Amino acid sequence: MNADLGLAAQLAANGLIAGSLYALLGVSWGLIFATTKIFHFAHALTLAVATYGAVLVVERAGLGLPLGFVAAAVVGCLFGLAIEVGVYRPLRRVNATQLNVFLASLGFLIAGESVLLILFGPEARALPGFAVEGIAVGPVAFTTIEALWIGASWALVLALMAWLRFTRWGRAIRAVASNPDLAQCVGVDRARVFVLVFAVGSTLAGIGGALIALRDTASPFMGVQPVLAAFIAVFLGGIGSIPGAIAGGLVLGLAENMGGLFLPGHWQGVIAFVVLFVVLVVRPSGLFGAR
Amino acid sequence: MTRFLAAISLVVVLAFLVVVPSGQAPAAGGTLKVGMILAMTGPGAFYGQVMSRGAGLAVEQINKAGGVDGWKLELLVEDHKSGDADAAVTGGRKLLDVDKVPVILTSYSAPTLAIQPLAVEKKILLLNGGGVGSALVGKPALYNTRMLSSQTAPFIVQWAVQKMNAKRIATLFWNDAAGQGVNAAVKATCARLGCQVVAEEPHDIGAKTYSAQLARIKARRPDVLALGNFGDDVGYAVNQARALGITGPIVGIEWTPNAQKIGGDAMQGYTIAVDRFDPAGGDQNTKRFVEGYQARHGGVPEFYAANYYEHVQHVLRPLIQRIVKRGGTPTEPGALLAEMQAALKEGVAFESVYGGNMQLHADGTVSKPMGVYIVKGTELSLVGRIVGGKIEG
Amino acid sequence: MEFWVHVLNFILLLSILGVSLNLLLGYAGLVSMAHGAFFGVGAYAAAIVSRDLGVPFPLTLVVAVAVTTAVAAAVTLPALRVYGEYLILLTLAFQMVIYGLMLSWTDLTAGRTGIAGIARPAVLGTPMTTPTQFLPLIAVLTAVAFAVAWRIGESPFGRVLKALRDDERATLAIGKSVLRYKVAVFAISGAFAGVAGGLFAHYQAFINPFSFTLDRSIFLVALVVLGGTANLLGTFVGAVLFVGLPEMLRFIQMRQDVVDAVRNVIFGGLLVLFMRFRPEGLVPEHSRLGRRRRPAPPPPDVSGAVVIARTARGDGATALVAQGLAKHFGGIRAAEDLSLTLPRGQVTALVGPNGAGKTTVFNLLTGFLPAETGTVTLEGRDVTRLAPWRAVRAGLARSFQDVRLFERMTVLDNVLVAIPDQPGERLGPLFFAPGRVARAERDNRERSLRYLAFVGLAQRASDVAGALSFGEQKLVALARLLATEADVLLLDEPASGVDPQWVARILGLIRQCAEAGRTVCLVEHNLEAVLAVADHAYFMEAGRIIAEGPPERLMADARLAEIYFGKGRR
Repeated sequence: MNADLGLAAQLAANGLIAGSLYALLGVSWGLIFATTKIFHFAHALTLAVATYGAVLVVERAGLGLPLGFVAAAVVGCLFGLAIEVGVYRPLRRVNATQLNVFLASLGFLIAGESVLLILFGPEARALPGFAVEGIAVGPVAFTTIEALWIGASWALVLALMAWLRFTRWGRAIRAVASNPDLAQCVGVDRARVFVLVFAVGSTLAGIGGALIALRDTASPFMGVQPVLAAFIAVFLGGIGSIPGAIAGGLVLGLAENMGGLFLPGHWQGVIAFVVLFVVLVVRPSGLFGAR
Repeated sequence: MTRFLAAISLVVVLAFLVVVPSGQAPAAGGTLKVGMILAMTGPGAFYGQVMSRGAGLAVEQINKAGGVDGWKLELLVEDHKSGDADAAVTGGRKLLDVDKVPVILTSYSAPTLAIQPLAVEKKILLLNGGGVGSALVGKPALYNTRMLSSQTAPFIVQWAVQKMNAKRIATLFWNDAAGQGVNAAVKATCARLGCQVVAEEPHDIGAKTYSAQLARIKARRPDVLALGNFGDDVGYAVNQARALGITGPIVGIEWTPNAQKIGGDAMQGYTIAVDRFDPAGGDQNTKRFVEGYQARHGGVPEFYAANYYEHVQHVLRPLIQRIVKRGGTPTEPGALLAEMQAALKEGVAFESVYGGNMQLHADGTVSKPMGVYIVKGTELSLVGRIVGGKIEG
Repeated sequence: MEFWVHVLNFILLLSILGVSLNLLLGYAGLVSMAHGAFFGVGAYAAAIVSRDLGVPFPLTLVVAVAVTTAVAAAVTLPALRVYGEYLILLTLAFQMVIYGLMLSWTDLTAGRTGIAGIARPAVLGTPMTTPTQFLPLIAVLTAVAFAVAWRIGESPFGRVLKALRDDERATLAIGKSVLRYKVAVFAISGAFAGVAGGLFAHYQAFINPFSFTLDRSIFLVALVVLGGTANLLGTFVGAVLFVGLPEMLRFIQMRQDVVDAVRNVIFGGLLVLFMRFRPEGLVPEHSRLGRRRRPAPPPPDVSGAVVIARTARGDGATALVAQGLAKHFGGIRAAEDLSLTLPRGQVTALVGPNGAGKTTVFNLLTGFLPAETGTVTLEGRDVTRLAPWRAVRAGLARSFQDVRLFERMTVLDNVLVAIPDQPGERLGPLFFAPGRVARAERDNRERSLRYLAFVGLAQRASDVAGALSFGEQKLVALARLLATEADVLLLDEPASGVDPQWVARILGLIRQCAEAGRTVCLVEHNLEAVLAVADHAYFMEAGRIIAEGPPERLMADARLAEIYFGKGRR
């Protein structure tokens, strides 16, 4: 019994760790999706490219980890902007359907991952420079990296929420997300808001990628799994709701890990998509969305 | 529109015309083509590179010495994208149909199983030096020169029980034939030696996160954690097990320099039982291989390179010699495969770069010198030899 | 040549999958990111019944088809309620769940190791092992798949699918059960994937989850889109180009890993460029390649007016009565205690200021919105709770303010698709009574041309609807509405947003419909139009009817004018 409680506590901690990162990624993708309605699969590429930026700065240039994170943020931001301006904007000009925009996003991801592969090779690259230590709290053990995951994710998510609520541009984004036509009427420049959400969302994705690489190393195809988790977080929480995406990320992380109470650990990946499938079927507006 | 399509069809037809004839080069007399289907791309690309280098070195050495009784060798490498059966079969078809190879060297369990029916169909010899799944046993035309995980795993349990006093063992293994083979062997050996398997946790190949599995394992309080995984995954698993507060000994059946790098300090004390290739030890054969490899590619060869070097240098070469000696043609369909079967029936032992000979068996398995090793610093050090099914510490 | 035969077999197998996906994506506009999984379900079904139950070859294929069809239909049930990005995500989730099961449910699937030694089929006592021996079987089944898909795609059934793709609400509004078509097309698509999967399992004699990944699903979507949606030849061209051509790269002396990566860069790049510059794909839908050449429609020798006569379902003086309808959105009252009567053969108008709830009334009458209280009686029959498409079949049809034509279909097809009870809309007659289907199609085609002649657009019959001017589109919408053979027509702003000369023409047509015995109710902002065409009018404000009477009288009322135009105006 004691062992089971210990297991539950450890799994809950694992869930919280993974969930915090999912919340960050969910928010970064959900912000873009809610505002632009683009199913931005290439977010996975932004994440990978930004992470390689961090790896290059830390490993090749030897500039230290904090600068690595700055590099991830900057590279992520610029790369996201480049996709918006170079891929999506021309598509909007020719009135591409939502499906076609999605396919272009996919194509860009496929091509981009392979370019990374050609440039950096297939092998996993570490993001060094962080002193990893184990932390034990009662029956629960985790590492300093995972503590950083939780701390950094929540700091960024809360900062974003405050920015959306209290600044002029933040309010403009929320206006476009909730009613684009009305926002246009009251003089919000849609194109600039789009650029803004791509900048902000991609920055967060870049930092998220560097956080992942800290524990799990970087590789050209590293972005897809985390971004799939972000999709799930957003749709679990309900589209358009930042708190929803955060809650969705936490629910996803906990569900994946707490599933370990009943199922062997390798079912983790299946659990996530079963949860998504059930939610989409039973409650398409999301767990926390308005009906 | 029509013109557009016509242009495209023209391009396709021209491309076929250009490409197809080039594939139908006549089989030059005196050249024997050796096919390889390896992980040249995807997450296992490292292995593919190392394996093709090993085989390539042997071909170079043989050709430089004038070939095998006048037969020059030529290496042709196809890609199975780290386990994609479709790609393996298509690559196999190309080797068999276009290049007419009499032998294919493969890696990984799934691609090997996927092309085995082709080998039977065309009566060609299939040599595997990478895949370790127990499903590879007893398949016609297929011979494994790497000991399967189910052959090595019993000894690590024996070691854990005898030297580490293990009563409760947990397993963490690849969710495929190789990993499941380890798990099954651990359970069977435990039942024999009187220890208990308290947790069995499969994981996906190439997983980066083991938190759920390790949490479940930790809750069962094992004395020893036995790993049934391979490649980089060993490093990740050991590292995370330590971070999660699993303090008991960790044992396994594979260690690679790359996994050592990933696992870092956590690898200290990790113990394995393997048919280990030791570049610094061995005999004259080992020396010729290691020195040749260092001269050609720089750096010390991995055992993956060694196994495929052996395929060419110590399996194919003697087989070709036997065929030539009895007046046959080694490129003839079925010749190499038949010669292998005949050689095994006679009980012929093949030389090895592992030190001494290796014994291939009719069911497609192999016996090589084995030992128990422990990680000290960043290197393996020998702590026990396995002779005749017993560990000599 | 065995290698090239093998490549050809692969091209054929993937083109069966492509056809399967094209029916969904190209014809019905439904995205599936799960076709790799459907393919896998078919392959595993065949392999498992062959391995565990010793089921022999042709039967395994039947099992594969049955299982995949059932699975695909089951996925549809939730998919019916979700659209667009939800469908992308739902099918993606399904793909990942199935892939996860293949990997993790090792007792059944043997996990990543895969199922080896799947029995090779024997035909007439000869076992099939080599690619050349397999080719006839694969080729025949591919041909059958293309023929069946072509028959479905180019039939009245396929026409409804295209309508569904272009506008789901409008498809409901012409009386087609969207649900039935969605389940049917998913099931058919699943059956095709099952054929491909079962064949693949026996051909390869080995399967593992690697062949059924998300990557394969993405590849299939790309293949269909690049080849050309809603054109089967395009799918075949796509399979040749994207499966066959890359095999030639094997003969280029270059590092394999680089070749593979470069291929992906080209493939991904093509996808981006096509979406920007040629979204219709290599072989576009209306390309004459790959489909029957349609002769230009002969000018109808009969006046169109003949076809608009009502179909005499009831004979009372009133066609439709609504009583006490109410609807709220949150706290906002959209309709309350709404009662109205539509006298047969007359034109009734609903007028009122913006936001008065006029369109809501149409939605409540036709079932697009469920009413909270109240009843709608059509020809003495209670139709309050009927689904929109059933209301149309009962004789009550509506048009839309924003027209909602099926933009990628031809003008003729826009009208033709609305004709009720076409035998070719059912799969049974489509395949087993082709003569009846062909005769009905000929008659319906002629009938549709007459509807078009009535609105004066017969000469535009073979143009794509999206290319028409707004005024012409409104006329086509009217023809489409008439083709539903509904007696009661609800017209939402039939004359707004078009030039004055078009207004007169449209109003004239509406009068003709009424004179032919059809009952018309219209919402219109253009008061002059209302005066010109309506016999009777209801005045609405804030969800209620506050006045009714002859249009001239209502417009003379100063109080109503004030509500309509606001204080201090006029």
